[in-house]
Amino acid sequence: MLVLSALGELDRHDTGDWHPERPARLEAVRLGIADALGPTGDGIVSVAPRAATQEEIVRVHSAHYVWSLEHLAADGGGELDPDTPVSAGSWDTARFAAGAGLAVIDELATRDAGIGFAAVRPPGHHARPGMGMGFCLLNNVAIAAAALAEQGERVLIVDWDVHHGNGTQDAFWEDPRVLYVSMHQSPMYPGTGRVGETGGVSAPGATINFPFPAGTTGEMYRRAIDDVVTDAAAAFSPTWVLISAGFDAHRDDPLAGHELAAGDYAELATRVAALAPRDGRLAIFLEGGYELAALRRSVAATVGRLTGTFETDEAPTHAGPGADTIGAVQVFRERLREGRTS
Amino acid sequence: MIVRTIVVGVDGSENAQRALDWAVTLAEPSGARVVAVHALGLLDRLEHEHVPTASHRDEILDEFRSTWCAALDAAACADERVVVDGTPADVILGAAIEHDADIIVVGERGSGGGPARDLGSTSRRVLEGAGRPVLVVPQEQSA
Repeated sequence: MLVLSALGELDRHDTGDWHPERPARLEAVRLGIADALGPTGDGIVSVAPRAATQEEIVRVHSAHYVWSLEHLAADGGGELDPDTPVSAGSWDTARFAAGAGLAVIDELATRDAGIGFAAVRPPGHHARPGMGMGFCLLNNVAIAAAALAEQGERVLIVDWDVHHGNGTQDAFWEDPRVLYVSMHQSPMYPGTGRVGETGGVSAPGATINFPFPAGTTGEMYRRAIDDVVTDAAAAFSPTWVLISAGFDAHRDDPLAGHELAAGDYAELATRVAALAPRDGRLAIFLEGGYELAALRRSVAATVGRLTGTFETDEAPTHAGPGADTIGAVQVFRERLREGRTS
Repeated sequence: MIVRTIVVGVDGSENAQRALDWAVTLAEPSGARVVAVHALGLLDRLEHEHVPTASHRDEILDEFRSTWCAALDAAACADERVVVDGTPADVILGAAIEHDADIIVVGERGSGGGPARDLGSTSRRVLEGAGRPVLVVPQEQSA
């Protein structure tokens, strides 16, 4: 069962004709879900997005930033940086995007079953507490994780977007209730996510970064989970698992240089789902993914694997660079265990 | 007061070109070094087109070093041309710290409007975070 909250007609975030983060992405996701579950929507529980409240948003973002973003949109829009346009409809869209994730979490908690999926834009994982950036306005996955943490839950976030989720990392840098794991390309925007970034003094080891070089295949993403994240998750003992699911590490995506195929996302989904404590405690949040056909195939592979309804014919990828990165992460975690920081 | 290092933000725009010209104007008589910095976002502009930086990285580096920083070629000052992944304000502020800049020079973006629009203003964010002198070069006013 897929508990799905999709923005649909609530998407009024206009980035312009030239921008790769565009409304057509959500249509590609819709088609990918249909590929996985069939056109009739059997197996889908649709949950209407709701607007995230001010209280829910300011658990992650500063009140000043929230005020400024709302008023920038109300004034007709502008931009946060050269990558990140804001239109008149962006504030409402961002609130509903964040609220869709919250609605998914609530529905999963009520049903105690199913896989959650917040099919939303704009993406969120670059949005820092004090400022959005990198196409992101509000940090959807962080707002959901903060809501769960507020209820006493322990949240594992696995971010397989090809770009480092600097906003999510910043949001929980000092928060031991959230274990944040990111696999991403480096060097690459936003320039953060080094191996040595492992969490603040209040949450040592609660951030794990795998900055993989260009050309990395799915094998290294899988090994990162198998060789490091599985043990870290076992020690952390999450009560919820959230996936920051960008699909821009796909080899066809124009915004990065990793070499994953749709089949890799199916394999990753299997592994990350195994880290959840039970059914109804895994939710997917759409982040990047800008090549529409690849996005569709990758979503179909992910959802199909998790619901057991579809298998992609795009085989997982192997070999390539990245083993050194995993080794470096293991060294850092060993040092943390021994109480050494350098 | 001795000015040894000037960090200037360069993005290929006309206004950034004016900022670079001002940096050179300050550097030449004082013997200061100019550190020209470009922030690589997710997207960039080449030939008036938005392009993904991931697949155009080398072209952007070439354009930055040879065209956007051309004013430095004829300048009588030492220079360094640096490209860093990130947003413009973060990259410029980071470069100022790394290079121990005595002054930062940036172009003013012309978005105008009320206080909410300051949210996206690189020059405003640099001014607020610099902790050192900042020269903000306005856009050229049409007659």
